[in-house]
Amino acid sequence: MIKKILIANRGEIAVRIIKACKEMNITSAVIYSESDKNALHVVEADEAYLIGKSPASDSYLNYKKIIKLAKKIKADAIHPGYGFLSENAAFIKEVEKAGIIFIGPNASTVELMGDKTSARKLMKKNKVPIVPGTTEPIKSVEEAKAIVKKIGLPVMIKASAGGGGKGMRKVDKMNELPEAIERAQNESLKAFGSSEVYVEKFIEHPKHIEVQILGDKYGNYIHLFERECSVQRRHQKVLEEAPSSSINNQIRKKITLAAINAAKACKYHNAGTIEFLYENKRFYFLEMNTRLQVEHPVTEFITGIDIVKEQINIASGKKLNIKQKDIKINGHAIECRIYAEDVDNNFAPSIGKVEYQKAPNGPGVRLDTGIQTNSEISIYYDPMLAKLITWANNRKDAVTRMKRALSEYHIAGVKTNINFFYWILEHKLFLDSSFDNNFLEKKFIPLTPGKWQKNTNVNYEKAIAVLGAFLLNEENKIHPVKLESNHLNQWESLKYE
Amino acid sequence: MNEYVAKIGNNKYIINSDEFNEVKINGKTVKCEIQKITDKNYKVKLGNNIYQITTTKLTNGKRAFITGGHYFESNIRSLLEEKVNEHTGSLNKDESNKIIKSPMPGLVLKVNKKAGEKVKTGESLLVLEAMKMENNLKSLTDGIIKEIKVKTGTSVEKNETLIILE
Repeated sequence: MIKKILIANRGEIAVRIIKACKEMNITSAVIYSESDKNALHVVEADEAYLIGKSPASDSYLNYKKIIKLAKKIKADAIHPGYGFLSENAAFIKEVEKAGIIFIGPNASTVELMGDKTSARKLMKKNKVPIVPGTTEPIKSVEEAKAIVKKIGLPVMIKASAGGGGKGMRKVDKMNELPEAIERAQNESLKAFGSSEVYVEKFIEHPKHIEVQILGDKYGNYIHLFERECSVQRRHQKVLEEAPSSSINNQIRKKITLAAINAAKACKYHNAGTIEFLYENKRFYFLEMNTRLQVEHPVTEFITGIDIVKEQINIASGKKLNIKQKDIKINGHAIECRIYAEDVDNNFAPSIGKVEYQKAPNGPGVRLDTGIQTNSEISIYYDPMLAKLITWANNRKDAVTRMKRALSEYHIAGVKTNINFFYWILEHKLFLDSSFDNNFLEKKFIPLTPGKWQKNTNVNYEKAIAVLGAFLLNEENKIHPVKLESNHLNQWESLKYE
Repeated sequence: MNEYVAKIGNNKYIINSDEFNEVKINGKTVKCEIQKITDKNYKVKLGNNIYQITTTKLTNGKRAFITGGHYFESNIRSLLEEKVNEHTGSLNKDESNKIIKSPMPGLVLKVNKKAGEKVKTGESLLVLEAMKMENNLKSLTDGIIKEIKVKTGTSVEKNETLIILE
């Protein structure tokens, strides 16, 4: 029985997990850093503990302190959320050793799936299609050349221990191969402490399609269908939806089966996601995420299943009580990741204080937020503020609803990417589902800064001009007109009649 | 009637109004209602359209506006401020800080300096009444008054030379 959960995370996902705890009558405890003392998750949780200074290494990543705290407050389980310690095998081992339930898979599964070549080998053995290439680290340039001849150019050289784009090299011509291997090996050694690299075919126009699965500790597995996350910038997802509008039922059957096989192959328990690249009606295993994902709400919307509650049930040793045949896709859901960032300044984080916010609501709208008025958006963490998710009977209506909800969402004090989503939601390639992972890079980035803002609606500008004039008029009733306090300014008002 | 200039992106809007139940936008009259919801949130009705607008002051003197999913930053000034800014802008450009010209038509109320007197940057040279306001005309540079071309009571035109420094 889990009676108290320590949530080792912050922001919207900590708040999301608190909500599941409340519904399950479980005490929620959170940790917070110095700069998060006024954060929403601290307010919402039943218990909150200061864990350390603002840098993540001293707070949300400091697992010795976190485990010590969990013991002290007698938490039965730790929920890692996503990011931070969620896929850290060493942390999971320590939690297991301390006799605390980790709400996630075993450390060994995380280790296995964290190594790219071992994961590829396991998938291949279990009939899960992988991107053509090697399943062992390459031993020589000659060996690599032979493989490239077989699978064809272009190829990618990737670090076995890799992730986040590090230790990755694209090779277009055979004579580039030796140098690419050497550089990838060096990068990998620096970043991950291992120089092992492997070769795989470069997929030029992939879509990102992933399958949500649930597995319990007794070998029962179900899938909750797929999500499409092809709207990405530098491998970071920006907008996700479920189901994918790019695949038919035949592909859906195959890809969900492959995902179940992948989960079975590593004896996975917990909620998990198998990511695939999809091109020309073929899909290839990319990686497995052994944790709750940011975009889980779109799946919750179309299946009605609360994934966080299922995670907690699985961790506490309960059997899955949902049957595959009872899970149906109902309608369509879209998620926009709302960031404090300046889209036109190379998406730089917008640091500051949330001075005002007005949240969208109404039919088919869900807002998973981590902020409130006066929240500080600091340099220390990812500047995601919230996730806005809409649901409707079909994709077209979900898009319309998203545009409506975005228009209701006012955040002042920091710049956000809210207006950027209109560009996506109104783009022809997005609407006809022919976009792929290169969509933003090819279509949006060339339009920055500024050119992507369609001829802004003049009516809005007029309303703003009138309000601005009104506010200035109000100020001037109290204080005479002030000119800019620049010493170069010759004018200074003395009196106003 | 009070007159304001709002610059939003590449567009410029001239707003005339006193009570804001009716406004002229670039010369066209529109019925208007403005309701304050909170310090930072307003409802603006223009003609038949209603807008919910969130606004905050930015540190650079501009205002941020959020409405209908859009984000705008705008500089809003009274027409007088606007003209003065244009004027000082052009002065700075041609570096003719030693020739003090009238930024707009007005009446000289007071001359604070005499020919031959030293002036420092920021010191008041004369007071000009324009647009129902008294305005202190300050020196943009250190120097000595070479010539004063006007006296109290003189009506001046825009760009008329008032004082020459050396």
